[in-house]
Amino acid sequence: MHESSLVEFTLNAVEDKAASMNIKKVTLIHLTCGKMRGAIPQLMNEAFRLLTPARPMFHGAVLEMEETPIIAKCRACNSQHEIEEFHDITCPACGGKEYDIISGEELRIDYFEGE
Amino acid sequence: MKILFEQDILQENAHQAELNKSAFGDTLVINIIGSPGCGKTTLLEKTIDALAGELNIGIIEGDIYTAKDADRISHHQVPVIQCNTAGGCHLSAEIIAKATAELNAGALDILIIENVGNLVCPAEFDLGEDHKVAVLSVVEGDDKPAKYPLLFQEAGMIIINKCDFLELTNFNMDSAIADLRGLNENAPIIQMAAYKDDGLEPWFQWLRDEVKSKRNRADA
Ligand SMILES: Nc1nc2c(ncn2[C@@H]2O[C@H](COP(=O)(O)OP(=O)(O)O)[C@@H](O)[C@H]2O)c(=O)[nH]1
Ligand SMILES: [Mg+2]
Ligand SMILES: [Zn+2]
Ligand SMILES: [Zn+2]
Repeated sequence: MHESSLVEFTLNAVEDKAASMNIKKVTLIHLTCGKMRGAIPQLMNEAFRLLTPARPMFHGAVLEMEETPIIAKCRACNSQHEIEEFHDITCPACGGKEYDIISGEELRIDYFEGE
Repeated sequence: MKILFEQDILQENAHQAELNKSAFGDTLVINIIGSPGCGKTTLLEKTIDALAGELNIGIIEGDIYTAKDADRISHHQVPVIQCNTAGGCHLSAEIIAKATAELNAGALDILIIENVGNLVCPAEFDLGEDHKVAVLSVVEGDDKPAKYPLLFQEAGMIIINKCDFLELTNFNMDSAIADLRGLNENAPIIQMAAYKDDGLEPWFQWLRDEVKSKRNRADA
C-alpha cells in the first residue's frame, strides 16, 4: 500500500520531467531508498507492475531500487557504524550512545532513462 | 538517454505541505499517528471535552472507508471533516488541502488530524503540521519503537497510552523509553490511560503551550 503511493509519486514526477524534455518513452527508473523508510523492494516492483500498464509512457520500463543501510555516526568519536535495529545502540568503537544518522533516510529518484 | 534527476520521491507532497502550512496561518496543527486501536479517537474526545471551552478546536478524521470516528467526534460539538482515503493507508498533503478549505482552518486555535491507523507510512507524508504526535499503547508491545523507527524519530510528542494495562502485559517501560530516547532526544514522552482520564493533564498543557508559541511565532 505504502509502496504503491511511493511508486505513484515516482511515476508522476518522472512523467512531468520527461514530458518537459520531450521524452516519449521511459525505459528505466533508478531509485535510492534508505532502510529507515520501510519501502520493501519486492512490493515496490509489484506496485510498479500494477501501475504502469495504465500509463503508456512506462510500457516495458524497468524499476531499479537501491537500498541503503542505516549508518550512524558517533558523536563522541566520529566513527560510523550500521544500525540493524534501533535497540540499545552503542558505538562499537568507543561505547558512545549518542549518534547522528547520516544515511538510510533517502527516498530519491536518482535518474531515469528514456527516448 | 539518461536523465539525472536527483529529486525526492515525495517532493510533490512536500511542496503541497508547504502550501498547507501557510494556509494554516497561526493555527496549531497536530498530526496524530498510531496503530489502529491505540486510542487516537479516545484521546481526541478527551481533548475536546477538556479544552473546547478555552480553545477553538477543529478535527480532521482520516479513515480508510468509514465515517465511524467522525461520527464519534461529531457528538462533541466541534467542527469535524471526514476524509476517506479509499483504501490508502495514509493521509497526504493534497487530501488535507481539500479538507481544510472546507473547515476554515485559519479561524481555529488548534486543528487536530487523526491519521489513518498505521505506524509506517503516515510518518512519511508531511501534511504541513507543526507536530506529529506518535501514540503507542502498551498492549502493542515495547518493541514497536525499534520496529517502526521513523515515526518515533519524527514525532514532536510521544504518548504511551493504555498504561492501565501495564501489569497485564510484559511491556517494559524502561526499555521502551530507552529505545525512544535513542531515536528522539527531544520529544516529551507522556504516559497515560486516556480512556480512564489518567495522566492527560501534561498533554493538555503541552497543547496550550504550543498554541501560544505558535501565535507568538506568527506575530513575530
Ligand atoms: N483500557 C484502556 N482502553 C483504552 C484506552 N484508550 C483507548 N482505549 C480503548 O481502546 C479502543 C480503541 O480506541 P480508539 O480511540 O478507537 O483507537 P484508535 O483506533 O487509535 O482511534 C476503544 O475501545 C477505547 O475505549 C486506555 O487508556 N485504556
Ligand atoms: Mg480512530
Ligand atoms: Zn564512538
Ligand atoms: Zn500509506
